[in-house]
Amino acid sequence: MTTTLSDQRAEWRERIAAIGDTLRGESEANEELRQLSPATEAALRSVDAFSLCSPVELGGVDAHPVLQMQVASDITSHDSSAGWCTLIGAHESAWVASRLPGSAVERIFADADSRWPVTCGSIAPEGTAEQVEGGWMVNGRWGWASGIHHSDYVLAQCRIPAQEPEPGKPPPLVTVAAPKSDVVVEDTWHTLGMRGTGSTHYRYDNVFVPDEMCLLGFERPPLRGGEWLRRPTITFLTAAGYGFPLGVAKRAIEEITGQATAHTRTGQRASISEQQHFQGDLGRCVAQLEIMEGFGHHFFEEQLTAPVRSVEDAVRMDDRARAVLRWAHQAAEDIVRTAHEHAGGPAVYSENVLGRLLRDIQTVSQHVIQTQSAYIRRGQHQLGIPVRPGL
Amino acid sequence: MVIEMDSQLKRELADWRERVESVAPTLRAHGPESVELRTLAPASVAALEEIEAFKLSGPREVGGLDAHPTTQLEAFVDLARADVSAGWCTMVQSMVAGLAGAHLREGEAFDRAFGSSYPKFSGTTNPEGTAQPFEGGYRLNGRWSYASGIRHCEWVLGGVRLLDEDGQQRMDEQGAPLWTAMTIPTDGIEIEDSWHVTGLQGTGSPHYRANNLVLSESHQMPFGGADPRRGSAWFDIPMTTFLVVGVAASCIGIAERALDVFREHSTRVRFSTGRAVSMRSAIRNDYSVAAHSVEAARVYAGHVLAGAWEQRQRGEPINQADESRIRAMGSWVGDVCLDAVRSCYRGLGAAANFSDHPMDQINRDMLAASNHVFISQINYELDGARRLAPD
Repeated sequence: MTTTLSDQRAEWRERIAAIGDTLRGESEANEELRQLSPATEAALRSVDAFSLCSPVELGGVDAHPVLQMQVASDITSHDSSAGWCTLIGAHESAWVASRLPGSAVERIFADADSRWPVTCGSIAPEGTAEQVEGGWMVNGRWGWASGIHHSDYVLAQCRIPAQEPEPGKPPPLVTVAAPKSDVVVEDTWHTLGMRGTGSTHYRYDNVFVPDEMCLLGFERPPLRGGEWLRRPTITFLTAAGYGFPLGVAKRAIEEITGQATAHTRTGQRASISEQQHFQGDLGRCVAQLEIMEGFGHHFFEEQLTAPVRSVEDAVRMDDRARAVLRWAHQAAEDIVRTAHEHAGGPAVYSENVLGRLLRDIQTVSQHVIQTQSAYIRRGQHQLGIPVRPGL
Repeated sequence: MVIEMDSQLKRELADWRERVESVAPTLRAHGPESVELRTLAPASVAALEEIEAFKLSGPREVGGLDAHPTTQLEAFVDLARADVSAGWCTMVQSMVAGLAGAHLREGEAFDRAFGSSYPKFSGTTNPEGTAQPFEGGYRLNGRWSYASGIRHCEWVLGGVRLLDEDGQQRMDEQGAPLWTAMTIPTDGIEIEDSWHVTGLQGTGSPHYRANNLVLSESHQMPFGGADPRRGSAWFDIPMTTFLVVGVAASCIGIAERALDVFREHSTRVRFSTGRAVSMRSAIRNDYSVAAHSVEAARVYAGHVLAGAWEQRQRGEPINQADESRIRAMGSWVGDVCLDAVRSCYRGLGAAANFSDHPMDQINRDMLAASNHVFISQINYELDGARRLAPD
């Protein structure tokens, strides 16, 4: 049976709504545990959230980018940490599912119907790999392993010290995936925001990774999966990634709309909602949110079919996607900051949702994908300056 | 005469610069301890007492130093730059004691508070409690919030609605509810453990509660800024004008500290670019903008306060238009400093996310400080209304 994108979107909207109360109810537990609570993980698994981006032939959804954006947004609007872990788990699982050879994925995804194998980890080349018989011996320490506590596999990217870089080319790299039981999970995730994501450091201490779980380089064509999985890597990541700021912004508007009616600031006779200045700011925020959502639809529809004929096309597409993602995060932060400011004193308390959203959006805005270089590179393209692959 | 005043102010400023410098290493060293304790560390309290910082804003008749408002501003800025919690508590303790010292009537409460040694005051005049006549005095009930430094204070203020013998709200001749502030010894109240917040944790600003506390009539402090009994002409100004200096100064101190920390950490190499943060031209641009903004905020705040002080020296009152302008200055300074800190935080990238990075705490403190009601957006509305009012 063929379903339209519109049908899929409606079905997923219901699916996420069904776990909304659980996700909201577990927010404080996630923060307290500094990782997703068991109930949050179970709720996400119950709706197959982690398979959102993976190829259909392995049991994944291989969702249209607009649907990825929507699902990430809906989950994030209930709980930021759950939304973030969903998009990281869905992306990295999809990388494993689409890039590793058949022998590896048949084993990894053999029981995917009963338990989806979630992958996490870092693509910063902060470790080293030595080629040995049948695989690689890996050592190193990486950060930002969002969702590692509920993951089954952990990615890591390594330099290869024994191989000399070719002149004018980046140093040789190998990306490896080991079962979580092979890596050491540290306890370093003490942060301003996104506390519930458990994005702690991890180590590979002399871990042997067989060849079938390794890929030289990172930017490799997929062996399986649909059109969106074949987009350049950064572009592929931005659809669900864009859903995160969208979800945060939606929740902020929902929260301040409620708090503004219930709260009167010290020294004022009328509630926040009766202040004309607030009404104007809220109207601006709602308009910003609608623009974010509308532009996201347009952008990802366009990126799904845009031609990529060369490395230059791929670099240009990725840099455009990064700039769009940075813009979305800045727009969301502006919305959250406006809501937070109007909420006044109550928002400074740790359990206040607007306080948490501001901590979360500021923390995620530090992510390397959406740093200032996103705009700089976009500007360089606009100026006709040659831009090398990279961040 | 003007020259003489200038040189006196210069001496006072130089004296306070030296005093703050003498304790800055102690305050900075104990900053993390204050955050951990969620109240100002004992060593910091002792250091501040050693330089008589808590006396800065008090009338000379009760042992205060009645410093020029420019000196107060500069000292609060420098203290906050050394340690935000210490600076914040100093301005609260100093200013609230100043209010009490200027306005409390002679009597039992005054003798207890100021008779033997200079007291440390905290608390709020928000009318969140009630005072009912009882045996010639009052029976006090209420729950107040944001009592910065209360754990090292001997006294708090508590705003109350005045009730009659039957427990009904008393009204003035115009039918408005009567309210006042009470000076309350901290050994008569219950301090809650409610200060669980995003930032300014080290200020220890929890809720406090009075349950049927009986106080003599002498504890009532005529509310607001009118008709001070003691102190220089600076005390005869609206209360919010008197207090906004402290919050604005703290914001400037936080922002200056952010600029310091950014500079110290700007040699860090980001993996995505392979270059030190300080080598990026876009970062240099942002840093320069932030540095100029904060410098301008400090100069402007000093200019506005000096103007108001000179106005009082000439015997001219601080009218409502002046008050609005001073309050809006506070809001503007807060906004500028918030932007500067955000810029510094963002520029350092993901490393600043972790709780052991000094920029993380600065960012947290700025977020909390910027939501203080004295520098809220309503000040702009009030100032705009005055400026747009027909002649």
